Amino acid sequence: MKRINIFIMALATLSVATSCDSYLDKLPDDRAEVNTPEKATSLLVSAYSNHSPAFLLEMSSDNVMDNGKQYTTQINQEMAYRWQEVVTVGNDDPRSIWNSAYIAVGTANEALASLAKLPDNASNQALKAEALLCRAYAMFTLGNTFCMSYNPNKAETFLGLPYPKEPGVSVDERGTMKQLYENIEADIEAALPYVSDAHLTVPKYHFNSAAAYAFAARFNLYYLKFDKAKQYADKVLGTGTPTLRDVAMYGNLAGVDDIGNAYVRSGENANLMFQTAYSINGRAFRSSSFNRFNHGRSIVSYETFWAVSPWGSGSSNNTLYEARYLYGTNQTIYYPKMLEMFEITDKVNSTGYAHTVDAAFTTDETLLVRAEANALLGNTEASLTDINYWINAHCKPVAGTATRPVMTEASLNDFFNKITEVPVPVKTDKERTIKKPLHPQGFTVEEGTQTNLIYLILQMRRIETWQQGLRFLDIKRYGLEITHNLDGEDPLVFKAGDLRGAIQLPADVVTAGLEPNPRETTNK
Amino acid sequence: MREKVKILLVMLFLCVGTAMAQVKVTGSVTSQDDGQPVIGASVIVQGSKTGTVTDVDGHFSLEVPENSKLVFSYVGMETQTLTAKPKMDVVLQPNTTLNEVVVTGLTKIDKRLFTGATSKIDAAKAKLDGVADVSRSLEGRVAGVSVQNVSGTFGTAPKIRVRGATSIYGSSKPLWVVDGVIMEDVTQVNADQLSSGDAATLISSAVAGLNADDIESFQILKDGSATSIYGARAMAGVIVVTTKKGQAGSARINYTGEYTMRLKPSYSQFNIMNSQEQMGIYKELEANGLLSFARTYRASTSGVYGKMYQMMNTYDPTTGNFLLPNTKAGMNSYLRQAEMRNTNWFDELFSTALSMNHSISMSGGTDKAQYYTSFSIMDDPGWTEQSKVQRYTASVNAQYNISQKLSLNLISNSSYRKQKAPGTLNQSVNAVTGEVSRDFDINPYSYAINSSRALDPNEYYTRNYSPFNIHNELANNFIDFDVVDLKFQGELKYKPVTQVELAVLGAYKYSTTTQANQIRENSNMAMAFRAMDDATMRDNNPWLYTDPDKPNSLPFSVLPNGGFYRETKYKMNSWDFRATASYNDIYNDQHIVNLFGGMEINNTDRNRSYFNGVGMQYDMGYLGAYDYNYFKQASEQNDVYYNLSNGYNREVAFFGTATYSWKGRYTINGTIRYEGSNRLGKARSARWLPTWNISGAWNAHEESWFQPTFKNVLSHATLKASYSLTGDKPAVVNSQVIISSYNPWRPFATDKESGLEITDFANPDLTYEKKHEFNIGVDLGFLNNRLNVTFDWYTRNNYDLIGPRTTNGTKGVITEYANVASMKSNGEELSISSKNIVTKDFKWSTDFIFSHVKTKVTDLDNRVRFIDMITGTGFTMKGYPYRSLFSIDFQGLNDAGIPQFINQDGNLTTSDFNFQSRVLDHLIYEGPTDPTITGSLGNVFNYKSFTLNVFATFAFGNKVRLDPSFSSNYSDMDAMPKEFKNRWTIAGEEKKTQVPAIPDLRQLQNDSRLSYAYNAYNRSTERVANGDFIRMKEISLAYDFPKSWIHTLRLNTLSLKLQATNLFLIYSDKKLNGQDPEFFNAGGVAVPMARQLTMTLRIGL
Repeated sequence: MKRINIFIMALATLSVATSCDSYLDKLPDDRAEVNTPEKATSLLVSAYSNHSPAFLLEMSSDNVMDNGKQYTTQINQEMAYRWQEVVTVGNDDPRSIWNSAYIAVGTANEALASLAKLPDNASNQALKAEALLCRAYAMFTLGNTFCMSYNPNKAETFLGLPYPKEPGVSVDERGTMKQLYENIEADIEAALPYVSDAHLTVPKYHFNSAAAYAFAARFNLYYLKFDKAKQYADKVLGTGTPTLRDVAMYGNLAGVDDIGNAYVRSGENANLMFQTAYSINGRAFRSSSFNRFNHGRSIVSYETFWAVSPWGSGSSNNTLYEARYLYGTNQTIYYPKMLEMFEITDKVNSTGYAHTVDAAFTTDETLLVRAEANALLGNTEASLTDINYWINAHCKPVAGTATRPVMTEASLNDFFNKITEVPVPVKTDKERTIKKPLHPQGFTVEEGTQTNLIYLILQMRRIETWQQGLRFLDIKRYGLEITHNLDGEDPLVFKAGDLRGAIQLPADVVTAGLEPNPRETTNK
Repeated sequence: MREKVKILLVMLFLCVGTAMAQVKVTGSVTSQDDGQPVIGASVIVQGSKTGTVTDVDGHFSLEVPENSKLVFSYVGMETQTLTAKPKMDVVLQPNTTLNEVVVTGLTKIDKRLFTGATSKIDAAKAKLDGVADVSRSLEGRVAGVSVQNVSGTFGTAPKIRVRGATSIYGSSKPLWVVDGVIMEDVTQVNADQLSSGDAATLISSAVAGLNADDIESFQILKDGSATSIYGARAMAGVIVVTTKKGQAGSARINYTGEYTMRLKPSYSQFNIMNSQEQMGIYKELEANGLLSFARTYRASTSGVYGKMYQMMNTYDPTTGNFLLPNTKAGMNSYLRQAEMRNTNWFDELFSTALSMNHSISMSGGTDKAQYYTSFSIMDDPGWTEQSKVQRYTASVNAQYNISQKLSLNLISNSSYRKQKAPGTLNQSVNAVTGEVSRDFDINPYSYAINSSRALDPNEYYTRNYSPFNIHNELANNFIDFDVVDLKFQGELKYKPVTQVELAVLGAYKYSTTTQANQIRENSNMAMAFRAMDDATMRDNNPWLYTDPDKPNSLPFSVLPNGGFYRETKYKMNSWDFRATASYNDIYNDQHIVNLFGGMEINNTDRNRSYFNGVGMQYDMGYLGAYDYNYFKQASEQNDVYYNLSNGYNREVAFFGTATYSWKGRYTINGTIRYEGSNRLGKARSARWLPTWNISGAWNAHEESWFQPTFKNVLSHATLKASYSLTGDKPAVVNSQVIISSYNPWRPFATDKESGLEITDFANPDLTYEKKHEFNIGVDLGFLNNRLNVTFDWYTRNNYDLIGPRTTNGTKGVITEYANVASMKSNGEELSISSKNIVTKDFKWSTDFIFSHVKTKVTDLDNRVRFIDMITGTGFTMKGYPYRSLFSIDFQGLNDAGIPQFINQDGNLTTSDFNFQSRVLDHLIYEGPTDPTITGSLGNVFNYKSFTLNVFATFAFGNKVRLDPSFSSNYSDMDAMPKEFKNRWTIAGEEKKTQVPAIPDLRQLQNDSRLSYAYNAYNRSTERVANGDFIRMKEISLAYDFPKSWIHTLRLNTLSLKLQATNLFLIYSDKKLNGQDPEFFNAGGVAVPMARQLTMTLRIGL
C-alpha cells in the first residue's frame, strides 16, 4: 500500500515536472496563429494603414489660404498651415499617421515571418509580394510625410526612417534617406514579379497587380528613376488609350453625396486601390469649423479649378468638368471626391467614427506620372500624348467660350510663355497663376518646353490629387516656393528645399529617443 | 469486531482500577461559545494515561482515584484542569490565541508558529442572516479588508480589497480558496466593471453558489508571509473558506430558516420633487418653449405633456370628440390631474415580499467515517420588479479513515441559481459629449429615482418614439440567468509515520451560466425599431435603417416583426491537482521543525458564446422571422450577431515552506514558490517567477521572565515581522503577438471582407506584477486575555505593474503596456476585542476594528483621456492614490445661469470641452474613490439566553460623485431633485446659487454644444461628496430556548433571532441627499443593498 502510494506520487510529480513547460505552451486565448496561406491572406487585410497624412499635407500645401481671423480653425489645422510642429494627437495628426503606418509595417512583417514557414510556391509568393508592397507603401507614405523629398545629392545626409523587417522588433536608428529609398526599392522589386490578383476577394482594397505597378511608378518618379517610372506606368495603362475616370458622367448625378459615392466605387475602373482612414479630412473642406484655412475662392479662381488654364478659366468658360462640380462657400470650395463617411457606433447620440475613402491609386494619376516621367526623359511627344489623354477625359468639348484644347509643343509654350510667374511672397490675388518657378531638388529641368510641360503636368496633378495631400509632395520635389498669407500678420513663405517639408516626428517618438527632423534656426 | 475488543480492554482496565480507592465522576462538557455539548473532548487524569472522551451529548463518566485532577481539553478550547468531583459540568472556553490553527488552504499551521498577518473569522459570528452571498458578510469583520457593496443585487460581487489595491490595471481581487481549492470566476469582471451595472456583473461573485450555513470559518491571509504559499497568485490577498465537516457521534440535523423582508425605499430618504413641484417646473419649461406642442408631440421621449398633446390630437369615433378638448379648460383639468397624482414609484416597483432561505444539514459518523451533507433553498421573490432569484445548493463532505495511516476526504458542492433581471444593454461613455448613458435602461431603482411623480404608472407615455410603460417594459424585456456551479474534490492523505503526511488532492469544477435576454415584441425596445408613425418620426428615429446603396431612399424598419432573443453563455471547466508532503517534528522538546512542500497544476478553460436571435416572435409560438436587411445593416456597422471566445489558463507551481522554532519562543519561517503560467509567453525567463518570504516571530509570553514580570496584566505578547515577494499575473496577455479576426470598415457592403489584425504586438519581456511587503505585527493579550489587541503595520512596494510605456513606435505601437508602473502603499490595522463584563448571566464583549491604507502611484505614464478621469471610478496619475476622482473645475454660473468651468486648455468656458483631450492639467483632484479608513465597532450583549448584537461599520476618506441629475434638456418624463428649487432663474442669482438654470429654447439653439456644459457640471467639483459613512449594519436579538423547554419537543437546540440589516446611516455627507455612498447608481442591474428585517429560526435535532 505504502509503496504503491509513494510510487504513484513520485511518478505523477515526475511526469508533471518534465511536461509542464510544454503544458504551459498553450496560448491563453483564441488569438490566431498565422500558419496557413489563408490566414496570411487574412492578416494582409490589416497591413494597410488606416490613418492618412492627407489632411496634414493638404493643410501644408498651397491649396489652402487664410480666409481671415473671423473664421473658425482647428488647432492642428493652424499648426500645419503655419508649418509648425503639430503636437495634437488626433486621427489626422503625426502621431496617428506614424503609429498606423508602423502597424501596417509590423503586420506585413508578421505576415512575412509566417509565410517564411510555409512552402515557397507561387500562391505564397503572391502573398509575400503583397506583404512586401504593404511594407514598402507604408514606409513610402511615412517617408513622404516625415522626410524631405528624395535628393541624390543629399541622400546620404538627409535622415531616413527606421525600416523594421522583423516582426516585434523596434528599430531605433533612422538611417539615411538613401537607405530608406533603397529599402523601399528592394521591397518593390522583390514583390513585382510575383504580384497577383488570384488571392484577392476585394482587390481594390489591396495591392492588386495594377495598383502595385502604379505604386512602383509613383515611387520611381519620386526616386528620380524616370525610366522605371515610365516602364511601370505602362504596365498599368498599356500603350493605347488608357481607361480613365468617367468624369463626364458625374454631371448626371444628383449632387454631392452621389458624386462622392461614385468617386470611390470599386466598380469605377479608373480606381486602382483605395485606402480608408479615420479622418476628419472629408469634413474639413465642408464644415465651417475649418473655414479659416481652406480652399478659398481666391485659390480656386487663380490657382486651381477656375484658374486660367489651357482648358479655360472660371466656372462657365471652362471645359474642365471638375470646374462645374464644385460646392461650398467662398471660404471653402470643394470637389466632392473624398467625403466623410460616418460609421455610427451609438445610434441614440449619433456618435461614431469619421472615415474617408481615398482613391490612393488611379489610372488618371498614373497617367500623369507617365507624362511627367516622359517629360523629364525628354520624350516630349509621349508626354503630350498623355497630357491630351487626360484632357480628353477631364474636359468637355465646348463650354461657354472655351473649347477643349489639343496640346502641342507650340500651344504649350505659347500658353505658358504668356503667363506670369507667381512671386514670393504673394501679395495680391492677381499675382496668383498656375506657374510657380521650379527649383527641382536633386535633378534638373531644362528651360523651355520641358519646364512648360512640367508646369502643365503639375497643374493637372494639383487638380487630380486635390484633397489627397499629394500636392505638397510635388511642392517638395520641385522646390516650389509658396506663400501662406495670414490675416494681420506677415505672410509665411515656404522656400525651395525648406526643411519644414519634412514634417516633425510625433513628440512621443522623439521622447522615446528617435532623432527629430532638423529645423533652420530662423524658422522657429 | 474491533469495537468489541476495545470494550473488552476498557472493561479489563476498569476491573484493575477497582482495586484502588475510586470515585465515579459523571458530567458533561459544553462549549461556552454556543452552549452546545462538546463531543469528543478528552478527559484525562492528570499525570496518567487514564481517561475518556465525551459522547455525542457531551457526557462522560469515569472512575478516578480520589483527589486526582482531571484535565479537560478539546481542540480550539482552553484546557482546564479541575479537581475531580462526582458531578462535574465543565464549560470550555474557546481558545482565543493559543493553540489555534491557521488554515492557509494548503496546510494547517499552529498559530504560535505562524509568522504572517492573518485573521480568522468564525462564520457563525460573521454571518449576515438574510444576505445570501457570503462575501458580503466580511464587511467590517477583519482589519485590512474593505468590502464595498457597489451593487446589492444577488450574484454581484462586492468590491473586496485586502490591504488596498495592488495593481493599477489589474483587478486587485483577492484569491478565494474553498477547502483548499482556488475558486475561479466564470467570467472575469474587473473591479471597475463591478460598478458598471452591466448584466455580466450578476455572475461576478465566485462564491454566490456557496450556502452560508455550510461555512465553518474564513481565514484572511493578508501579508506576503501569509500568502506567500500562493506566491504569484496572491498579491491581492487570500480568503480561505473552510466548510463544515462531519464529526463522530450520533447524527445531527440542523435546520436554519431565514425569513427576510426588505423595506421599500421611501421618498423621505431622497429629495425628489413631488408631482406638484414637478408640474410647476414643467409649466416653466412650457413657458420657455421647451414643452411646446411642436417639440413635444413627436418627441423621442415625452411624458405628461406629450400624452396631453397626443390625446388632443386623437379623435375618438365613438364619442365623436377628441380624447381631450383643445381648450384652456381641457388642458388645465388634465394637468391638474397630473399635479395631484404624486405617484409613488417605490411602491410601484418595489416589494416587501418575504424572501426565504432554508438550509438543512445532516452530519454525523463514526471514528471511521464522518459526513456532513446539506441542502438549501433560497427563494427570493425580488425586492424590485423582475428580480426573482431562486438558488438551490447541496453539498457533501465525507471523511473516511481507511486505516490509521490512510484517510480519504471527498467533497462535492453543487448549486443552481435561477434569476431574473431587467433587460439591459451595456453602459456606454460618450467621449464626445461627456455623457455616460445606457440605451433602453429600465432599472427599477434608477427609474423610480429619475421618473416624474406626475406620471400615471398605468399609462403609456413615449420613449424612443414608442409607447412606454415601466411595468409593461419589465414584463416584456428581461434577462433570465441560469447558473450552475459544480465542484468535486477528493483528497487522499497518508501518514506513514506520525511526523510525515503525504497528500494528493484533485478537484474538478464546472460552471455554466446562461444569460438570456428576452426582448419581446411588445417591449418598447423592440417597438422602437419600427416606430415611424409619421415622416418626422421616420426621419428622426435612429433605430430605423437607411440603405446606403439606395441613394435618397427613406428609412425603414429592419425589425418589422418580433423582438430579440439575446443569449450569452459562459462555461468554465477547471481542474486542479496537488501533491504535498509535510514533516512536523519536535526534537528534545525544544526544536520544533515544520517542513511542507509540494506542487500543483491548475487548468481552467473558459468559453463564452453570444447569439442575437433577431425577429423572435414570442407571441407566435417563438417563430423567428427576420428581415435580411437587419444583417445587411449589421454588416455595414460592423455588428456581429454571434460570437465565440475562449480562454485557457494553465498554471504549474512548486512550493515549499520551512519553519523552525525554539520552544515556540523564537520562530523563523521561509517560503518559496516557483510558479509558471501560460499567460507569460513561451520564454522560460518570463514564464516562471520565484516568489519568497522570510519571517520571524517572538512569543514573549513563552519567556521565563514574562509571567513574573507582567503577572496577568499582560498575559500574552507576540511580535512578528516578515518580508516577502509575491506577484500576480499581468492584466495583459501579449507576451506573444495577439492576432484576432476583425471586420475592417468599408464604405459599401460590396467592399466588405473580414480579416485578421494584430491587436497587440508582442512584448516578450512581459512578466508578473510584483509586490514587496514588509510587515510588523504585535499581538497582545491583557488581563488573562480578556482584552486582546492586534496591531499590524505594513508597507508595500508594488512594482513591475502594468502601465503604458512610450516607444518609438516602429514595432507597431507607440504606447505599449509593459511592466513599467509602480505604486507604494502602507497602512495600519488594529483589532481590539474585549470581554468587558463576564458574569454568570450577563456578558458584554466589544470588538473594534480599524484599518487605514494609503496608496500612491509612484510611476505611471498616464495616457488616458479627460473623460476617463472624471467618469466611473476615476483613474489615477503619478503621485496620486490608486483610482482617484478628478473633477472639472467649476467656476460658478454665468449671467445666464449656465455653469462655467476651466476647460482642458485652461480657459474659462461653458461648453467648449474636448472630453477626449489628453491634457489633464486643469482637472481638480478630489480624493481616492476607495475608502482609506474602514472598520467596525461591534458590541455583543448576552443575558442568560438572550444575545443582542449591535454592529456598525464605517468607511472614511473617499469621495463619491453625486448622481448626474443635470441635463441641458429635460423631458416631461424626468424627475428633478429638490435642489432645482434653488436654481438660477433670473440674472443676478448667479451670485447666490450654484444650481444652473434650465436652459430655454433660445439658449439651446444658440449653443449646439450646451449639453457639454451640463454633462461637465455633473462631473464638476460642485457634484462631489465625501464618501464617509458610519452604517448601522446589524442589530439583532437572538434567543436560545432553554434546554429544559425544548427537550420535550425532542430538540437539541432551538433559537430565534431577529435581525435588522443596513438599517440606517449614522453619519454620511449631507450633500448625498439619500444617495448611498457605497452604491454606484449605474442603472442596468444594479440596486443598492436593501434595508431589511430578518427572522432566523434555528432548530437542531
